[in-house]
Amino acid sequence: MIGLVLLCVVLAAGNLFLFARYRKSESDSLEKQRELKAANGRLAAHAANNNQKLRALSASSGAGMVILDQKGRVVHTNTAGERILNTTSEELVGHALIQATLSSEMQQFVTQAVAAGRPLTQDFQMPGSQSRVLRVSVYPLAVGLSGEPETMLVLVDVTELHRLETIRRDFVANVSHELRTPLASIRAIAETLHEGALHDPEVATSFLETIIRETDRLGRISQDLLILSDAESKEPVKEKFDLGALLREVIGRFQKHAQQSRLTLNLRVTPDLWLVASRDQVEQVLVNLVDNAIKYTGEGGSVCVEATREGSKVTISVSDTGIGIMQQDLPRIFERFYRVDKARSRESGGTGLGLSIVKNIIEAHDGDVKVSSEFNRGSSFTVVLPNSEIS
Amino acid sequence: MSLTRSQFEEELEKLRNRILAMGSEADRAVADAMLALGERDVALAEEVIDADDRIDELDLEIEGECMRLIALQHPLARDLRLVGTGLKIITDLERIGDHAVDIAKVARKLARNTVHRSLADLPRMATSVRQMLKTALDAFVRHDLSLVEKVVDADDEVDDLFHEIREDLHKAMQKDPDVIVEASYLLFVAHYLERMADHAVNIAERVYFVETGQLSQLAKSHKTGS
Repeated sequence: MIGLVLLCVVLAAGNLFLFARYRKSESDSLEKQRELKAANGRLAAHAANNNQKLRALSASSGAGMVILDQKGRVVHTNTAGERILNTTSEELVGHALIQATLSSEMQQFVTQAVAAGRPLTQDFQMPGSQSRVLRVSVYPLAVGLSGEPETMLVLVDVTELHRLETIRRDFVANVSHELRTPLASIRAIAETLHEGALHDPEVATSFLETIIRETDRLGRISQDLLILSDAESKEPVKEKFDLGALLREVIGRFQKHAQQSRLTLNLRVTPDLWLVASRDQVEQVLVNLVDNAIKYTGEGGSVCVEATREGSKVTISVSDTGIGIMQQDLPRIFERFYRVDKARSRESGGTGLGLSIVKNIIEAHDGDVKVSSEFNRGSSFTVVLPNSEIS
Repeated sequence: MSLTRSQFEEELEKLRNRILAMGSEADRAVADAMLALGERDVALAEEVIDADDRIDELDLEIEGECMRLIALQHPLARDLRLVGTGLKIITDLERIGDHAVDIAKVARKLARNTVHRSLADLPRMATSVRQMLKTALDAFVRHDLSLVEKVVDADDEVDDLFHEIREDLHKAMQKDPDVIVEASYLLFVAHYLERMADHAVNIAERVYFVETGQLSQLAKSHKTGS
């Protein structure tokens, strides 16, 4: 019996011992779990903090940032990205990039960069009517915001850069063409004359006429370049003058030319219209605009010059019923040496600088010049000049 | 094999993205064809003609995809309208691609045979048509009926432009017989662009159908003819 009691006591003591060990190990395990949980919490807070910093950084960036998951779906975009892609984060997140860009070319480029596993950059012409160009840099990320591999896209709108680059490239090509063509022509004629054509009076006369024509053209170009340089570098010497009288004088000078071209040339001026500006430069503007209007208006057409006062501003418009300008050329017609119809404007004796001179002179007067035109139906140039000194 | 709802939605999303990719290819074909025409660029015209194979392939692939979804998933209501619309939209996009090829062929022909003259503002018409296509595809993506309306309104403007250009080209031919060959080809180009605009309207009408469940001819020119 005593043995049985002793056995029970020993068993109970053993159980108690085991229970105590179990409790201790359970409490150790709970302690470890608590520690792990706390460490996880700290890590999650750290990651969230980092993500927050990254998002804050991307939100303040001027460049568009878009992050794609492994399936190519957008997981994050910053404000600049929304602006550049003309969409909202709500519309974009969870969907493929093509839904915002409508550019399969860009989509393929992203896929290519991800497959290559290295950053790639390329410019893309965007669909639609606005001719926007986006520079897209693709950075494959081994670990992204979610901890999984992601792809970061940096988007920059380089439309303006492309426009300026086109202007620069065309300017260099055009200026060299404008100067080289007459020189090459003169040189070829001189060589032919030198080789014997000089003794054939008929040929020689025709060649000499061409030399005179080409040197005249070079003379006009250098003259226009000087006018342009003056308008750019010197402050206009302003004076108060009767704009109506100046307009009548300029129109009078072109009347004969207009009659020869069977055109109607009309003038409408608000009475007693005075202007404070450089008279010579305003005259140059009027001559260039009226000359162009007559040059590009066919027989039976009309050119109308109007000048009015609107508050402290004077508006001069030159409208014609001529050949007009294609819409794609309108943003470029004030560029130096830019020609809408190259053959035609050279034939008619233009230097390709007339409208650049107009723009430079008007801007030097803190004014503005605008054009509206419909191809084959006519153009209208409107010059607005400030006239604050006249009440 | 039947898919879960989320898997099916993923399939529909993929279908939508592929249709957009095809739309993007068609838009690029139009842009390049017009550039080839303006610059008399034979090499670019050839590129447009060759690239049409890709648009045709996409047409067949997406059609197969739509058939597969209908056969295996039995989509209903809006889902069915979306898949059915996919089938219609790709036909319109394929036709736009074909018209771009037609323009590229004119560009190739004119580059070899005529002196370049400015006879009509076709680039302006092409810009409007491309904007219509983009707006129609945007409407498809954004489920936006106001964009559908924009496409329909723009079609009237394109029709007016077409009539102006046709008048310009007729006048040019009457005035100078030397331009008859070129002007007659450009008349075709204007016609192709006008047809492309009609296809963009078809796409917009299909978007209207997906969103409202109503089939409707929204464009005036469709109802009255022009």
